[in-house]
Amino acid sequence: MSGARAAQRAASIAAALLASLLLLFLLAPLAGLVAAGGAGGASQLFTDAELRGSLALTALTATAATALGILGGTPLAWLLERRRFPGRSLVMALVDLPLVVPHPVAGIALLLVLGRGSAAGGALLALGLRVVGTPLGIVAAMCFVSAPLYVSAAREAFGRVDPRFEAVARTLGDTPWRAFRRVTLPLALRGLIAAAIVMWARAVSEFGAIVILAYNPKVASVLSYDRFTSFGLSEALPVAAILALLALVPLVALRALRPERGAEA
Amino acid sequence: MIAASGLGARVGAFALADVTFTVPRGGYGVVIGPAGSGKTTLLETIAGIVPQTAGTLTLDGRAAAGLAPEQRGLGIVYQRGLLFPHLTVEGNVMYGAADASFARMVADRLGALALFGRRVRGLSGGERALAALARALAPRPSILLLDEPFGALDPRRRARVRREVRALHRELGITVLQVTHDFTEAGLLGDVAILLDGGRVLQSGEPGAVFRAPASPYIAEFLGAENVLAGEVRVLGDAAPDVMPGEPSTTAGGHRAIEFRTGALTIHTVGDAQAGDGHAVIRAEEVLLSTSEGTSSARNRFEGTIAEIATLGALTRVVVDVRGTPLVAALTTRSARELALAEGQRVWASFKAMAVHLC
Amino acid sequence: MRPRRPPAAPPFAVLVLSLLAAAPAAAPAAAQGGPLVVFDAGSLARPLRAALDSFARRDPVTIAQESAGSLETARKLTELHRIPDIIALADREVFDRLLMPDYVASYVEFARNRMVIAYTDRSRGAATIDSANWSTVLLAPGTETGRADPSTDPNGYRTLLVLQLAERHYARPGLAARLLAAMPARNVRPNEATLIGLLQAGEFDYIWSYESLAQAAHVRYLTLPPAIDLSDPALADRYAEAAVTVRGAGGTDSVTFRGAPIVYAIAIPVGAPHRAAAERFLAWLTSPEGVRVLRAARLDALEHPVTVSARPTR
Repeated sequence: MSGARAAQRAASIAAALLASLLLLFLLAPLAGLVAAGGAGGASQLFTDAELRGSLALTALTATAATALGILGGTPLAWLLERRRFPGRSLVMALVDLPLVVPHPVAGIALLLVLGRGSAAGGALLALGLRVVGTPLGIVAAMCFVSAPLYVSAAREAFGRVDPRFEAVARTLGDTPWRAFRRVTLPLALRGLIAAAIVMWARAVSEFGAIVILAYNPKVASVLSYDRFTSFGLSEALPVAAILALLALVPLVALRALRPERGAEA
Repeated sequence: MIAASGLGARVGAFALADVTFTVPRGGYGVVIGPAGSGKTTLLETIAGIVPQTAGTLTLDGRAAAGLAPEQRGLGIVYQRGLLFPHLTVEGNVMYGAADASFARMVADRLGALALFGRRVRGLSGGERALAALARALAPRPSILLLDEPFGALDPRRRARVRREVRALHRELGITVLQVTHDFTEAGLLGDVAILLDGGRVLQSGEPGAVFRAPASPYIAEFLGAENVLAGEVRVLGDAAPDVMPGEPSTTAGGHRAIEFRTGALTIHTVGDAQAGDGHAVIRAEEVLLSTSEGTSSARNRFEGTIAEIATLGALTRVVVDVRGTPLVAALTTRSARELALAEGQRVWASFKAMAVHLC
Repeated sequence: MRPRRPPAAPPFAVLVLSLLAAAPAAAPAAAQGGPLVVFDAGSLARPLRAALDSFARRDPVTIAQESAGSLETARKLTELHRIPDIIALADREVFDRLLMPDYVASYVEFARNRMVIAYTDRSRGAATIDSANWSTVLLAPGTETGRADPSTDPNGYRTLLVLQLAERHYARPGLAARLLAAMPARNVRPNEATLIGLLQAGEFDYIWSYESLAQAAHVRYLTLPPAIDLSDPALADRYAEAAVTVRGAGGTDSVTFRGAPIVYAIAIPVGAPHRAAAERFLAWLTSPEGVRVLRAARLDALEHPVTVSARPTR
């Protein structure tokens, strides 16, 4: 009897130990980063226009990329979760594919369809929209590498909502779109917000694919690389530290949003 | 009105097949079947939530095949209510209601009005059931589909809510199709009983008729008939002691005197069954017990010993061993006590020939 | 004294032991012939690989080679304190500026290179471009030319120097500015490898590159007059007439680079873990056989390498 209890205690201790180790592993480098460069970064915000511009550009492009991801990814996630159609598993696997592609390769791949030699790229150029070397290219690169994360998590969020809720709403007179808007969406909202956060964070941290498409203007990740290579660690740390500190704000704010927990049948 | 003809549907590996029945406009249909028989799938197919793969379905004269769920004018109440968790009870009940005052009236009669300000999360099972019923009725549907809606209610409230539902059903002329696994409830409520098993309709018709004349021994047992005896049917000709000399042995309806042999027993009945192997069904409620032989009009009278007595509240179930064949009788507990029945006691079990159903 | 055991000993011990066991795996055994760690500039990757493989056939060593931009490579020593056995850069200036005397006591100038314009069959004007009309082709509207970032890659500021030398050489005032305007910020990439990739993908018609890189990538390239392409040590004074100022540290300082022949330099840094093996390699590399191997790998190796010892040059 005490043997079983002791085994349980040992298991709890082991679990707590492993959890703390991982947490430490994740937080310690960041804490070190902020300690080393936080003050410098904060003061540079006032003096360094290039840094301010870079941070603003990063926030803007990441948000734009996330908005695009939500716009197209939400219906895609809903379809993949709710509808069975031939080739569904294949589509799900394909949506995950951008995640495994090395980032510079992703950048080259995007070039092939959005570059000036491609059909889409040529058409955009004719409209006066240049992709390579512009914020548009940055948004494209960010979206490509991070949208799969949104779709995946959004699918899970929809999966947690009992499809019978939608069915009941339909019998009460709702068209499919109304039922989605009034019932499924509010119940899945928490999961969708979490998915958007993950996508946004991934977009902000992207480097390899962005460098191919648009090195200039420089987003924060490119700027910190540039400063590291040109001037060294002391120059790069403040950029990285202030990026981490500023990114904390939207991350915390969004996590603090607590829409109604859904799907209790 | 709900009219299904050869209706078929499929959900995953489960299939409904060849479902045929009719619930008249303003009628109350009851679907009875064991777990996994497809009762919920049937309701969902009628609602249009599950697409039909075969046959025809007509709702109030309109072909359902081309209609989306929101166009069918029906309401559905799932077993656990399935209230929208992000809305209050009021939000749920008013969800599809066009006429707010009507909705409130319905909610009030069902006892859900008092719950209006509450969040779904804190409701008890019974309260959820009331709110779900009110929500389904608030849009004033012409057809109502109920999936075991009264299960979570305590007996007193259950009786009251059943009454209200029946009253609303009559006042508003709604066609109701209710799923239940409680046979007595089916008998109390329904105009039409539909027996469902393995996705197929075994039998449908007026509840009393179905109960008294199950189409097969399986259905009989299914419906809770306690005495289903296998044996042999012998049709008696003019030489039967039942028939007066000189009179025809066949009644006007084609019914003849029949002898049914099972084990050591010979049971007398009247019917149109053919000679050969078959089953005799006698409902326990039809079996009378007596502590003395006596005389009565009951054609079948057997002496036996009480093997088992089980009392459940006001009802007592007595198993009598008649020469190796068990016969189950259902009495009121009061009667059982008045007769001072005890295990091992010698009793006479009797039932009329008319109480025997052959299938 | 009785040894004391921590309460949750078994899982904890396993954890610690596995961490310890993993650490040496990252730096395989420093036994005899243990791995030679080589940091080199991107444009030296292939020639040095060939040289290292050739050397390893006669003097067995395992090799760990890392290629990056010249400045980035130098930063590995100065900022990350990772000391290799061999460091080879595309620009001796980086040695002078960043590595001498603390990290490198002396270096050897062992090969030279030249600036070229690389292009493909699909490039606009590819059919007609030559060493006389190249500036006109590059300035044609709709033509995209790529260059490296001066802050991160010597290739970058060398391109700017070449533009100035060209203006002088062809006696066309304003040419450098116009050519630069035709290569705006969006055509800048951090290193040569990315530029080659974009050229091959058809996004750029022309890129400014090193001859060795263009040859290694098997792309067509245009050779320019020695007066402007930084290839000839004899023209060092001529080259020095061009100067480029690049943003410095902290956003306020600036650094001025003067034109100089492109000379690859190689060194064994202070505190190299396998100095003996590194010295054997360096000796071989600067021998006739080493020179032959490098030239076969399309690097313009110097007949007589020059050793430069630590002394301030600024």
